[in-house]
Amino acid sequence: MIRVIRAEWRKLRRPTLFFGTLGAVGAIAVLTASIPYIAMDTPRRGREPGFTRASIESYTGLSLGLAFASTLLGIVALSVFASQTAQEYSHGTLRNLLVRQPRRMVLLGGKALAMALFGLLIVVETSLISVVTSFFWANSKDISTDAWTAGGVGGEGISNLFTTLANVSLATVGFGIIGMLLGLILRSPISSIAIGISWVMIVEGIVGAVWESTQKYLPGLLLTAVGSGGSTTITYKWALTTSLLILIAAGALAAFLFKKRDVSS
Amino acid sequence: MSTSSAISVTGLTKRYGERLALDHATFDVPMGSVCGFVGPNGSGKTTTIRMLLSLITPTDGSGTVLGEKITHPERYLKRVGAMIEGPAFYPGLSGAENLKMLATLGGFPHERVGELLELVGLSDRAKSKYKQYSLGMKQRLGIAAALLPQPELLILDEPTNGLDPAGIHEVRTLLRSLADGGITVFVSSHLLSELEQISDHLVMLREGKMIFSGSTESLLAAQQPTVIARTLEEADLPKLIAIAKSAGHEGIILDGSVHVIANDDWASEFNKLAFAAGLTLASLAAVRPTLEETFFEMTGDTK
Repeated sequence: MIRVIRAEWRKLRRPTLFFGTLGAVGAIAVLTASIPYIAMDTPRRGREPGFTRASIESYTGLSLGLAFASTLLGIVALSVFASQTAQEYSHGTLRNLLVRQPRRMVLLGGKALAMALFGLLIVVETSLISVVTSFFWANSKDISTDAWTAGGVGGEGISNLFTTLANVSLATVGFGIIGMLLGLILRSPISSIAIGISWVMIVEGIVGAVWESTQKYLPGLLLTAVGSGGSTTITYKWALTTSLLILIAAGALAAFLFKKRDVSS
Repeated sequence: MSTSSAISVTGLTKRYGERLALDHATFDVPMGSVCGFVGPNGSGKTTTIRMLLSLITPTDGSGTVLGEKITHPERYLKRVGAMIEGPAFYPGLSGAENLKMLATLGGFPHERVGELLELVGLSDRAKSKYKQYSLGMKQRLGIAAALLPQPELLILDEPTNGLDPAGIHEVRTLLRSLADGGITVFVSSHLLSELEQISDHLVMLREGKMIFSGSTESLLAAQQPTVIARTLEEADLPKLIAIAKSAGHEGIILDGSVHVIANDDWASEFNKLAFAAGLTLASLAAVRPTLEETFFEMTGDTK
């Protein structure tokens, strides 16, 4: 398993993919961390402002940017997992991998773990950039950060940041596993990414809006709820449990397909 | 199962729906031999190789590779090097990185990478991206990847595709030297002339069915040799036919020469008889059918 993870990392760390993804994620982190400060106290079409100085100054203010980035990080993970899985078929490299590691479950598990590590890396990067950006904006807009750091590592602000970090990590890896499943089924990077993003960003939005009760069962919306620690319509506990069950079922299907399917050209 | 066989399959069959890709193939590949796996495109060669490497599951039949059942590939693939359906690597990684990735996965020392790139003549392009390689270079990298595990058995599917004549010669020499070093080489190709030169064993397929399995020597020896003679004057050819007939051999005139079905050693006797009859031969040769001619004769196909 360790050899599979190390081999997969050799691919993941190639400069175009590694620095390209980290660069894109860095931009996402700066953007999402800046939104609350740019939109602060700005009314939204006659409604109350989404972000007020008071809400940003509260202990949750430090993790606002990271929580916002959750779905976008999920999309990045879905794309990376899907392309890295599907390209083994489109390049024909899967047959080389299976000759060198014929235990298919070990190969699949190792690839999934390596990509999960990559997913965690982008979440950690987002967290760091988000925190730095938040302090920069707070300083420039004269926002108090006392509640963010009160009590140090054990305080509410830092604890909430770590909780958000864990939730966003779970959501990101979850989106990635959906991408991996799509890659295994469709065996084409472009199709896997296009269908995955369309489903999460468009189809689930429409289905959830038309039939509100389905929101509690749609994987993209559930993972988004996990990333943001629950939503107005889906509790965190429900989102976590249901999305885990869906991912376990999806993982089992992926494992079955990978183990049983012939590897031909 | 024979312990002296590197590969042994019995009744191996693969069916895709209604189409029978391989129909009850039974053959052995002797340990330490270069075995040519021969057949036209679509005859089932790659399907067989995929089953030997456990990439696809047989519909029926059984087999062993290096004494282990093909249902347990983890027991023998560590000792097998393979290139299937041409080279396949990550375009964005260099040749060396691609090999290192496979070495990491297989648990082979990275020192092998440099040695193998040197062996296949790619050391000066080791850091170039795979997508920048020519077809011949890709093929060489595929052979290098197959040699990573220091294999006991090397399975190569059309390894000379895309290589120029010098490259083909190098691969041929390499395969022969590997076999001389004790490695069993199982190499498929639709270029029969190429395999004739290096194979000491042959497995021939046609439309999914096995039509021959045995030594190359026995196959070619079983074919009727021909003595071909040409006189200075073309008008003398019928006289040569008559001489051959009087010696008990049938002959025909073809392309300005007399072709007589007879053993090689009768050629000198033919020369003496012609000389005694006052005929001067411009050329005399004893030839055996090539593997390609033999294949077409066995299959009843025309070129």
